[in-house]
Amino acid sequence: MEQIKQTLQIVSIQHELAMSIGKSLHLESMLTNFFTTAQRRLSLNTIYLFYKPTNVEHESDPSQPNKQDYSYLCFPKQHESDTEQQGYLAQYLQPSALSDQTSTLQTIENKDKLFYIFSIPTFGWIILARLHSAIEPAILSALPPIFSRLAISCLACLEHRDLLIEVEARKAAEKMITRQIYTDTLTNLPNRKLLSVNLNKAIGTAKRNSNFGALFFIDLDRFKIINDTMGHGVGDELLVALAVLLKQCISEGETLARVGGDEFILLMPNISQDETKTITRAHSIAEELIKLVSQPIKLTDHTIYITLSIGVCVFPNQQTHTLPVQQASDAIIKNADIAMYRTKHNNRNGFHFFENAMETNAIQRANIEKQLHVALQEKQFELYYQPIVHPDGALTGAEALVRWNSPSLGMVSPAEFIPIAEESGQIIDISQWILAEACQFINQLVSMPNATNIDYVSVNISPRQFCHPHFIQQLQSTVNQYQTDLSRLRLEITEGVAIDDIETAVEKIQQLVDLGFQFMLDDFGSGYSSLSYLHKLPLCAIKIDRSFISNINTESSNQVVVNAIIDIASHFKLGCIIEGVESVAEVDYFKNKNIQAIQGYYFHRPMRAEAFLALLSNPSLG
Amino acid sequence: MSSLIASVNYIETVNEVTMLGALRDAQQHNVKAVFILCCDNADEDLSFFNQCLAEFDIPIFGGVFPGLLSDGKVYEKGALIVGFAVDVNVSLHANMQNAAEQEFSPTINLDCLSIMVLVDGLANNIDYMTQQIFHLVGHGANVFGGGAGSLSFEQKPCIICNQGIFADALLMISLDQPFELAIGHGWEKLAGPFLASQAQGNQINSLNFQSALSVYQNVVSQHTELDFNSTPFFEIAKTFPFGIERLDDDMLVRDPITTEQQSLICVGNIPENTMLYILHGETDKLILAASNSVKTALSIGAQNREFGDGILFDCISRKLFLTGDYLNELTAIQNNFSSGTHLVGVLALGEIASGKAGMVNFHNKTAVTGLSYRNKDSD
Repeated sequence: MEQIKQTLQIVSIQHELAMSIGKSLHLESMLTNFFTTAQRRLSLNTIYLFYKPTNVEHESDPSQPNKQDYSYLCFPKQHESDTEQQGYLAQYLQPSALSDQTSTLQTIENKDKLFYIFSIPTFGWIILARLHSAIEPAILSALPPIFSRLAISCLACLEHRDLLIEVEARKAAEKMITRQIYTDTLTNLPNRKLLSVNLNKAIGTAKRNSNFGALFFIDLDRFKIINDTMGHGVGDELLVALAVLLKQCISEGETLARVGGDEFILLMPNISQDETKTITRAHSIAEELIKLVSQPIKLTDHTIYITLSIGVCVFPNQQTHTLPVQQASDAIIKNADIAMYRTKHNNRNGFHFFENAMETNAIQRANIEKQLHVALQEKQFELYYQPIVHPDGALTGAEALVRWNSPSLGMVSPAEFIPIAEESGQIIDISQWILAEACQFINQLVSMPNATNIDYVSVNISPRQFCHPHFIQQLQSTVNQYQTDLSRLRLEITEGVAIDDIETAVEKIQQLVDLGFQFMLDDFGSGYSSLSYLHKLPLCAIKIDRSFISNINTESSNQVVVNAIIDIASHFKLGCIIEGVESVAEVDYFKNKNIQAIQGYYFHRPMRAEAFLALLSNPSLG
Repeated sequence: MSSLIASVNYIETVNEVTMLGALRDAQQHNVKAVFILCCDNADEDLSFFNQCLAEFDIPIFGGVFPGLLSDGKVYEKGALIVGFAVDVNVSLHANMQNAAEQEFSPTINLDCLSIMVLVDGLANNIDYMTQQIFHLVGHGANVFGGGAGSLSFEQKPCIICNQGIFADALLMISLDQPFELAIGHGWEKLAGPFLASQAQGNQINSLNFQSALSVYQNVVSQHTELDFNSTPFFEIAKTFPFGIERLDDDMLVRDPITTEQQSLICVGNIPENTMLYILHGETDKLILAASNSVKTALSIGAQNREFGDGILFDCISRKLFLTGDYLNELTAIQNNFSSGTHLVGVLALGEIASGKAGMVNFHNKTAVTGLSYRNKDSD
């Protein structure tokens, strides 16, 4: 009878323990379940588990298990004394036992506790601690199969955990990729792709709900100059700072995206069901955006003043309403871009709403930009020279002026194509060509018998060209190539070049002056009219802007300004050149003024090189 | 020498006025906490506890039980207001029905010396919660306590603390006071072992792969003159509980209280595949076991320190079984205490105690006595 009872007892224990294994795929939870059952069924004081984590390939010292090599679990909760216990028990763990096929049992008695150390092949050790009395041998002998089963379950849990980690890592990677696809990595703003997705949605919603939204195309003015002169690091820092600022304007459901180098788009869907209200609201937002950047932006090593050119397109509108969503989306962005360009042309730092008429201009503009690409290659440019004369009318120099005769567009005014070339960057190549042409022309002049009558030929340097990091080298390389007499070459820069970063401009000009180049400041008084930097620039002359010259004989306010400029130039020992003189009355006004030279239609219009050379040979032709 | 219990007051009628009076009286004695032992009485509305205890700045805790015990007497109405002279902290865990889904994070210091647990004895998940407590506390503290509630087996608010009175709740009371635990029941094997071949929670569906009710009735019928067809099930079953076999300890008693089709419903969980015995009891043996457990505990602890007051959680079903002899059990336990010490307690719906191996167990039909050590003030 006792035998039957004992058999039933063992079967019952085995069964209950076995059934408590594997109830969870979470290791701790699975073990807690098993340990709770084992503790109750075997009247255990504590259960310890040493096991090798799946990610540990080798023990540091195979002869002696190191605590660091094994994960350790204690049930119930581990107290400080158990930490000592862990060290105490670790010394009895025999790694060799783990390679055996079967479980081994080692019993240790310590004070009032008995420890039963079972090795679990390839997995680790489970240690049962019993207080006061021993576990019957028959029961002990029934346990190894249970622990083998436990080991399999533990390994399954660990593998499951590893799998989960892997899945999580994969999810994270996918999330990262998705993020990369839809996010601008510099500013962490949505990129053009995500903007497009959101705009498509917004167009759909606007159509369904008869709502109006607005798209703001925001371009940072003169960013290229900042990038070129201060470096890309500063440029990037500025973009990040600007993104943070602009984000202040957006609310939930709105999108602020970076869509290009210095281009941002703010999408505000569902502003109102009333178009007028939408326009009013968009107007306020645009003003808010402009105001946002009215304060200087502090970067790590710089404080930068910036302005924004903004174009606004309210949608849906007549033009986009009937288009398929993607085309409507593209059109809205394009229209806002066109409106932004209108702002650029209107002295920047402001905003314009898109109007249909703008599109015609934009098409023309796009056409010019397209044709410019082939103009140099196909030698469509020609250099004209406008004579500069002494106050008595005798030739003293010439200003080289580019003319573009496009086969498809006809004669395109420099006022039209130069700003486009400036913005597209093509100005660099064009300027290079102009300089080369001018150098060759100077060489031609020098070889003329009466060459001494011409002091110089001036060439305009565009702001973009001036700011180019290799400006000095390119300049030098060209004059070296044509062995140009530098005393015959003058470079004209505008105030805009100098004002953005006066220190750098002075340094650059000084370097070139040291090399023998001469500089004149063009359009003086038209822009920033800052006299404060005039003395800093190593110039040889200034050219008073033509806007002051028109009707100077009658415009007393212009007379005051011009007279002052002439005096200042005299004070700084700078030559003073008057440009835009078109009438005898204007010429007469300057008769007794302390000026160096005059340029204008009254004397000569810009002319081809041959015509200029002919004029030089025979001044009576003028 | 200081004691655990600073004052014991009994009030016969329990209402807001008498209770507040008793509590303020206890406060006058500069007690550090108050243990309220309240008798279950269908006529009394105890909802006033929800409003009146928050005003006290000392911890108040307790429960509503089928009976109260104090210095050798049994009270079946009224309340005992027991002032504690030691610091306690109380942590309330409500909504035990969803215990498994909730995070268990007691707000008391778990590194204390002892923890008293008062639980709604009719709540689900009592075994789960005792396991959780053991998992957190480990072997650091002795845990003891019991189940509150009504013998009508109707679940109603029965756990009292400063926040009010709650059903389906558990209180953990940490005590900076060491206790020795005495656990005794005296029930003996009548038949078995039986394999609990199908069991879930507190329900035994089959024993030895046969209908649990049939197996139980077959065995018990041979030892009682009462007929299962004409006698309420618990009238018979209270004399024949189940025992869960443990390797190094007394059997853990489980009270079958009712049936559900062919299944038996017990107070406390029956693990599936465990070994069960059907037990029976004799008056003298039950009384002796309860008394001896206290004697043994005293003899173990006395080598080092003196014992003081005691807290007794004695199962209501022992009283139901012992009937008129129950006072003998109480006296036998009380006699182990020296004069000048208090023994207060309750007739509980299930008892809780740390076992020999350290696990916290939920008992039935058992007497659990917490024996406090006297603290020497300054010697």
